[in-house]
Amino acid sequence: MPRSLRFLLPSFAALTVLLCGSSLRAESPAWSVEPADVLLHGNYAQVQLVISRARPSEGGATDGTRLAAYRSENDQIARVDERGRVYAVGNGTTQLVADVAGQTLTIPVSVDGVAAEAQPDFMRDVAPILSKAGCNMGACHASQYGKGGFILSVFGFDPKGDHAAIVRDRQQRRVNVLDPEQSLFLQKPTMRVPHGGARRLTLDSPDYRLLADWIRSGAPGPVADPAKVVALKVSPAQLVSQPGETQQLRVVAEYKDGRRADVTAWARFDSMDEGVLEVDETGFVKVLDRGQAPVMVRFEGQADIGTFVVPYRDNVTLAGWENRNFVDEHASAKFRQLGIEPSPLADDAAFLRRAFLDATGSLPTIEETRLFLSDSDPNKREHLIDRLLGLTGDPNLDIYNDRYASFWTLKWADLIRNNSKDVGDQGMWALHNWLRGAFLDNRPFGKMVSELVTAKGSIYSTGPANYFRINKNPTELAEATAQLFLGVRLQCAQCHHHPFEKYGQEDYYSFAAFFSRIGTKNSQDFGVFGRETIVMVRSAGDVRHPRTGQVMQPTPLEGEPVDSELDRRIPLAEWLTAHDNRMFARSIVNRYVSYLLGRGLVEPVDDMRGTNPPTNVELMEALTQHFIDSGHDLKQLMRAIMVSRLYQLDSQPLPENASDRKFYSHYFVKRIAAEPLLDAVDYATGDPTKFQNLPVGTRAIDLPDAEYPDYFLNVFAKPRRASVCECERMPDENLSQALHTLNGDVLAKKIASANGRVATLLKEKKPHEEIVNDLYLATLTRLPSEAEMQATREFLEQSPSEKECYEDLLWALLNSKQFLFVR
Amino acid sequence: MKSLRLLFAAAFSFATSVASAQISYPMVMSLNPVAARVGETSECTVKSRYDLSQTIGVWVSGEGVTAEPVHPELKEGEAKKETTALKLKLTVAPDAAPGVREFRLSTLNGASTVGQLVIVRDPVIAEAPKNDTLDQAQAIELPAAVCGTIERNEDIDFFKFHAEAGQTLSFHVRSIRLQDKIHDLQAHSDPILFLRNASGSTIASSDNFFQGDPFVCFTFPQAGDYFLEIRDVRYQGNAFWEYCVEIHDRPFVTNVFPAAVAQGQTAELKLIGFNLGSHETIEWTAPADAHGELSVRLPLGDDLTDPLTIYVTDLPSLVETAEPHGDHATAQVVTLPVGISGTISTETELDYYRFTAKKGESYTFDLRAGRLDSRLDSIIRILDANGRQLIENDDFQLFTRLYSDSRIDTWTVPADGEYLIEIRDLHLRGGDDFVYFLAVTSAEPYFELYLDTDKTQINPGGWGVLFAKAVRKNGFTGGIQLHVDGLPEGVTVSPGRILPGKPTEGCLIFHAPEGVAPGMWNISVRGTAEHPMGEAQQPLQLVSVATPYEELYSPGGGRTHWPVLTHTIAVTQPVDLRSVKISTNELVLKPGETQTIDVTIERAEGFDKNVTLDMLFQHLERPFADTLPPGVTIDKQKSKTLLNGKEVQGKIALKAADTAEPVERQQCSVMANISLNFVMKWTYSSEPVFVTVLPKE
Repeated sequence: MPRSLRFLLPSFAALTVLLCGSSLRAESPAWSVEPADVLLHGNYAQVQLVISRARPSEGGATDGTRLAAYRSENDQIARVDERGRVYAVGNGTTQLVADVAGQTLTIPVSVDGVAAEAQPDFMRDVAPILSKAGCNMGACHASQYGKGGFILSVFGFDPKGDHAAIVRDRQQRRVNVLDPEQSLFLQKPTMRVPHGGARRLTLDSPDYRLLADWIRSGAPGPVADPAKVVALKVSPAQLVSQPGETQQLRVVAEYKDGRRADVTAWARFDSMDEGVLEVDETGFVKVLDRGQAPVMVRFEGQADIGTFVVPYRDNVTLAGWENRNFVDEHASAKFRQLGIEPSPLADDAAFLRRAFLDATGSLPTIEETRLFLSDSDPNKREHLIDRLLGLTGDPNLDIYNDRYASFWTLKWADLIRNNSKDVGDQGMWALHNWLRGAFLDNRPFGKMVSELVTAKGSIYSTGPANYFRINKNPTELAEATAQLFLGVRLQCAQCHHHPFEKYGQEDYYSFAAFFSRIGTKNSQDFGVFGRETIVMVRSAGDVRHPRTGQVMQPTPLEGEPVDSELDRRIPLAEWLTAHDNRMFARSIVNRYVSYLLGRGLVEPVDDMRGTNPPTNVELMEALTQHFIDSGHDLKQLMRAIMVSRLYQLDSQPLPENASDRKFYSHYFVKRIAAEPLLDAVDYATGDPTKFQNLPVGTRAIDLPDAEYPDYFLNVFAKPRRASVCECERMPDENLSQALHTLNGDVLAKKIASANGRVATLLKEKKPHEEIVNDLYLATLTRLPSEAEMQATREFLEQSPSEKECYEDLLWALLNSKQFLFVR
Repeated sequence: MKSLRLLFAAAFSFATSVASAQISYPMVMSLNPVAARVGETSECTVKSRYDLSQTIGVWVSGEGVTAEPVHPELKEGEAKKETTALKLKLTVAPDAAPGVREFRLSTLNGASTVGQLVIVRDPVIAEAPKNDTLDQAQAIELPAAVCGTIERNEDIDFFKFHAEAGQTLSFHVRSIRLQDKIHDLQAHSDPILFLRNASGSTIASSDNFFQGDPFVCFTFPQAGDYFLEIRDVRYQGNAFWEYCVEIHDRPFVTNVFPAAVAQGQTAELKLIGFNLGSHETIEWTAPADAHGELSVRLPLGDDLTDPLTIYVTDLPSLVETAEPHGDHATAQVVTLPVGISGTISTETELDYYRFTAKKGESYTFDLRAGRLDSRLDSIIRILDANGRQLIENDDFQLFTRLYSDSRIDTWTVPADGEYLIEIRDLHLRGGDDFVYFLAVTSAEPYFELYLDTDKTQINPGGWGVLFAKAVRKNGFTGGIQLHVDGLPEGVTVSPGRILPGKPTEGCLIFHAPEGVAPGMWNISVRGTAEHPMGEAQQPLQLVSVATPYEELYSPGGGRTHWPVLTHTIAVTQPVDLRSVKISTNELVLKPGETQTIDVTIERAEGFDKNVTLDMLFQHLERPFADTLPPGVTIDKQKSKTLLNGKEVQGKIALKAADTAEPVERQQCSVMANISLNFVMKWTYSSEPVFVTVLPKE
C-alpha cells in the first residue's frame, strides 16, 4: 500500500528546547527549535522548523526561523532550505545544524520509508496539492463549468469525480502514464502550455515531483476508506508581537488513525485582519500594525488559527477603573494586555438613554428622565437596570416588562423570520405571541429553543410550530437551527466541505436528519374554515447523502449519532440546550454582547467558527459560563453586561483608544434600529404612527409581521425576514435616511401635528425655558446646556413665530446624531 | 342526543304579511348579549341576514330555556317593517343546565339557520359602548359573564375588576366555538385574552385553550384592581363576533377519570380541572339504560359542576393499571371485547395493552378523547408480538367532520397470537386532562346516516325534499330504507331509500297540504337495513339515526357542512313558487332510452327571478345528492332547466345508459331552485317521481 511520505511527530514534541554547544546568558533566554527531533517518513515528507526565543516580560517571543543559517550533516538523508524546511532524501539518521544570532542548535533527524519507486496516494498526497495550488477553488476548476473543460469538485469534496476528471475525462488526454512529464495535468500548471490560471507549480518543486511520480505509478484513484484529517494544530497558537516582527507558523495534522504529520507545506494561510498582519503561502507572518488578529490555517477540511496580539502601548493606567463584576475583570485584563486605555464612564443622561433603548427599545419619558437625573442614590444605575429588566420583584417597579418583551420579540422574530406570507395571519400571530410570552416570563432561553426545535401541533395554537412552516424541509431547518442557535453557518456544507470550517456534507445531512420526519395534517379545531395546519412527527422519513445515497443518522455537530423513535428532535434539543453544550451558550452570549456593546466578541455574530475567534476569549468563556450557570437566563446575562463598567463607558473615545474597534474601550455608537427610532420620533413629536391593521397606540417595536407599508420603517431598514442572518438588518446609516429625516413628509407632519408635542406645549403656554427643556428631554434625554439654551433664546427672537421656532428646534433635535444614535 | 320535541306553539297571525319576491328565510348571524343567566328572564338581540319581522317563534335546544320574539309595537295602521335585528325574550329556568344551546327562529318565511346561545350561572354584563382602551376600561363586579362583540377591526375591549390577594379566578371565553354553526359567517374570530395589573403590565394571557377560545385560571398575588383585555388575536373584527367570558372563583372541572363508566356501575371519578380545592374524587353511578356520551353535572358539595361529558359503555369496562405499562414487556393484558379508560398523564408517555386473538377475527378500535373534551390528540397502533406495526390511525372523518380522535373500523387478525395496542398523544404531550376511552369490539357491519341540510321548507300545498347520505362500513353493502319520526300533524312524507351497492343517497319528500298552519317542528330520520349473515342465520338488523348537517357558506363560495342538533320541518306562508308540477310521477326507462318529464312551475305574483330545475342536488356542478338509479343521468341537451324571467315551463330528460342495471321505482325529486345567496338556494320539490329501469331485453 502506498504510504504517506509525511513526517511523524514525536509524541513528546512541544516547545522543547534543545541547546547544543551554546552558552546561555542569564538575562536573555536562549533560542529554541520546534520540533526538537525531526522524523521524516516517506519520499515527500517535509517538516517546518520554527526557531524562537521567549520574551518573558511581554509574554511574547522572537522568531528566528529566517534568521538562522541551516545545514544538514548528511544531504543524502535530509536536506534543509533557508526557510527552515526539512525534506526527506534517503533512509537513515543525521543531524541538522542551525546557527542563529551566535547560537547553534542541533536537531536530530531520522528518515525512513523512502522508496526507490514512490507510490503517492491520491487523497493523502495529490489532493492537498490541488487544494494548496487553488485548482479546486470556486473561481478555478471548481466553478460550475470548470475551466477549459476541466472540472473539479469544490475543495475536493468528490475525490472520485476529481480523479476521473484528471485521469479519464477527455479521452485521458490529461495524464500520460508512459511519459508523465508530457501530461497536460503537469504542463498547464507549469506554464509549458498556456494556462489561464497562471503558474501554479515549478518544475523543481517537490509537489511537481510528487505529481509526476503519481502519474508514473499509474495515477491510482482514492482508496475506499482513506484516513481523514480530524484536527489541525497551528503553532504558535497565540503570540504577543510587535509591529515589524515576523513569525513562521507550523501546522500539524492529526489523522483519524492517530497519525500526526507536518503539513505546513500544503496548508493554506489567510490573515483575518490584513491591517494588523499579512501571511504568505509558506505560513510566514509579518506584523504590520497594532491590534489583535488571527491567521486562519486550512488543510483537507480542517481549520485552526494562530492569534497575534500586538499591544497598542506598553503601559496603561486604566484611570478610575474599578471592576464591578467579572465582565470588567476580563475586559480590563484585555485592556492591559493590549495597552488600551478605556474611556471614562458615560454621564447619567447618556447611560439612561442607552439603557432604555438597549433593554426596551424605547426612550424614557420626560418624567422618568427627570426622576433619574435628580436621583442621588449611588446605586441608581443598577436599580434602573433591574427595573428595566423587571427583576425587582415589585409589580409597581417592574413596569417595563411588556416593552422588554416586545423589543426582544421583535429581535428574535426577525431572526426566526416570522412572517404572515409563510404562515398566514394566525400562524404569524401565534409565533409572535409565543415569543412575547416567553420573554414576558423570562423563560430560560434553552427551554425556549427546546420548545422551538421540538414544536408540533396547531400552527394557530402552538406558536413555535410555525418554525416548521417557515423552514419547509430538513435542510432549511438544519441551516436555520445551526445558524440561529449555534452560530454555525452550515450552508456551504450542503454541496461541499465548508471552506473555513470543519463541517462537510456528512455533517450537514446528518444534522438535517433530525428534521426528516416532520409532516403536517389538517384539523378542524378552528372550525371548518379554519384551515389550520398541524405540524406532526411522522413515523418514518430519512435524509440521504446526495452523493453516496447513504441514509444519514441524526447526529449533532461534532457529536455521535443519536435518535429517538418518538421524535428525532428530542435528542437534538437535549444536546443543543444541554448545559455542557458551550457552542449553544457561546453563540447566544455573543449575540447579546453585540446587542448591548455594539459589537460581538465574534463578528459576524452568527459565524462562530473556530477560525473566527472571540476578541476576548476569557470574557467570552466567563459570560458563557455565567449564562450556563444562570440556567440560560437572558435577563441575568443582560444584567451582567449592563451593570459592568464596560457597558457604561462613555462613547467619546480617548486619543489613546480611538482606533479600537474590537475591545470595547469606549461605547460603540450605533444607529437606533428602525422600529425603536420610529417610536422615539413618535414620542418626541407626540404624534403616534398608525400601522396597518393595528390599533392606534401600537408601537413599532410591537409590530408582529415582517412587512408593513411604512416608508419610515422601510427606509430605516426594517428587515423583511428573508434571512436568519443578523446582517439582514442593515445597521449602517445612508443618504436616504438622512434625506428622509431632513426633508421627508413623515417627520414634518409629525412635528406640525395639531395634537403633537409642540402644539400641546404652546397650548399650555409654558415659558420658553420649560418648552426647550421638554423638547431636549423628549428627544435627547437630557437638559440643554446653558449655551444651547441661550442659542434657543436667540433663535426664538429671530423666528417669525413661537410655533415655527419650536417646530424648527424639534426638527433640529430629531436630526441630530444625539437623537438618531445610541451613544 | 337529539331533541324531537315539538318546538313551539306561538300564537301568530296569518294576515301579517304578503310574500313578495324574492323571499328568504332568515339566516342567523349573531345574538347579543350571547348569554342568558339561569333563573332570569332577559332580552337579547338576534341579528340576521334577511327579514326577521315574520318571526313567530323561537326554539332553544335542551331543557329549561324558552324564548319568544319581541316585535316592536306597531302604531295603529302601521305595517310591519322588514328588519334584520329582533329582540328575543329569554327565560331560563333556575335548574337549567349551563352551557351552549342551539336556537332557531320560526318565521312565516321558513325556519332560520342555527344560532348559539350560552346559558351561564353568573350575572350577564353587556359590553359598554366605549371600552376600547385601558383608560376607558369598563368596571365590572365579579362573578360575571361578560358579553361583548369584537365588532370592528382593531377593536379591543377592556374591563376593570377587583381581585383579592390569593384569589383564584377562572376566565373562560366562548367566541369562536359559538360561530361554527353560523351559516354566513365566513370569517371566524380568534380571540385572545390578557390580564393586566394596575400599571397595565401583562400578568397572564391565553390564546387558544378550548380549540380557538382562551381560558386562564389565575391566582392574583396582590389585592387590587386588574384589567381584562379581550380582542381578536389578529386585531380583526366583525359585527357578528360575539363573545362571553365567564369569570368566577368556583371549581372548573374539565374532565373526569375514568372517562367512561359501565352501565349501572358506580365509579369513583377523579376530578380534573382548575381551582378544585379539596374536591378530588366523587362517586357516580352510570344509568343502567344509558349508552354513549352523557352530559352530566356532578355534585360538588352544595353545588353542581357545569355539564361534563362522560361515556357510558355496555362493554366489559376496565381502567388502565397504575402499574407501569409503557412498553411492550409491561403491556397491560386485556381480553377482547373491552372498554379501557386511560390517561396519557405525562409527556412522551405511551400506553400499551396486550390481547390475544385468533386468525380471521375482525375488530373495531374506537378511541374517544376529543369527543370527551380531552386534550389528547390520539394516535393508535396495533403491533404484533414483536412490536412490528400492523395498522395505525391518527384521525378519522365522519361525513365532512374531521376528528382528532382515532378509529380503526376493521382490523382482521392475521394469525393466532398476541398483539399490542399502543396509544399516545400525537405530539407527545401528556397531563391529567389527556384522558381517553378505547372501545375494542368485534367489527360488525353498520352504516352511518347524515342529512344534507338542517331544515326543509315547505310552502302550503307544496312539497319539500330532504336528502340523506349513507356511509357503509365493515362489509355492509345493502339498501337502506329511510323513515321519519316526529312529523307534525298534517304533514306527510314519502320516505325513499338508498339503493344497495354504490349509491349513497336517498330522499324524503314531505308534503304540507293547504291549510296546515305555518310552523316549525324538529324531526328525526332513521335508516333501517338488513345484512345477510349466511345460510341458516337471521339477517343482521341494522338501524342508524341520521345526523343533521347544516350548510355553511364557505369563503370563496363553496358549500360545506357542519353538524347541528336537529333537522327541522318548516311550513311557510305562500312564497315565491306556489307549486312545481310534473307531467308524470312514474318514469320507466329501458336501457339506452331517454324520456322527458315536463315541468311547470307556478310563480307568485311579481316573482320574476330565475329558477333552475334539477334532479340532482348540486352546487357549482358538484353533486351533493344523486338519487337517480345508477346509469340514469340528465340529458342536458334535451332538457330545459333554466327558467328566466317569467318562464314557467321546463323539462328534464332522463337517459338510461345501455349498461344501466334494473331498478324498481327509485324515489326522486324534480327540484326548482331559487338562489338566495351564492351558496344557499330555496329548493322546491315536485311530488315524488319514481324512476324504474327495466332489465335489458
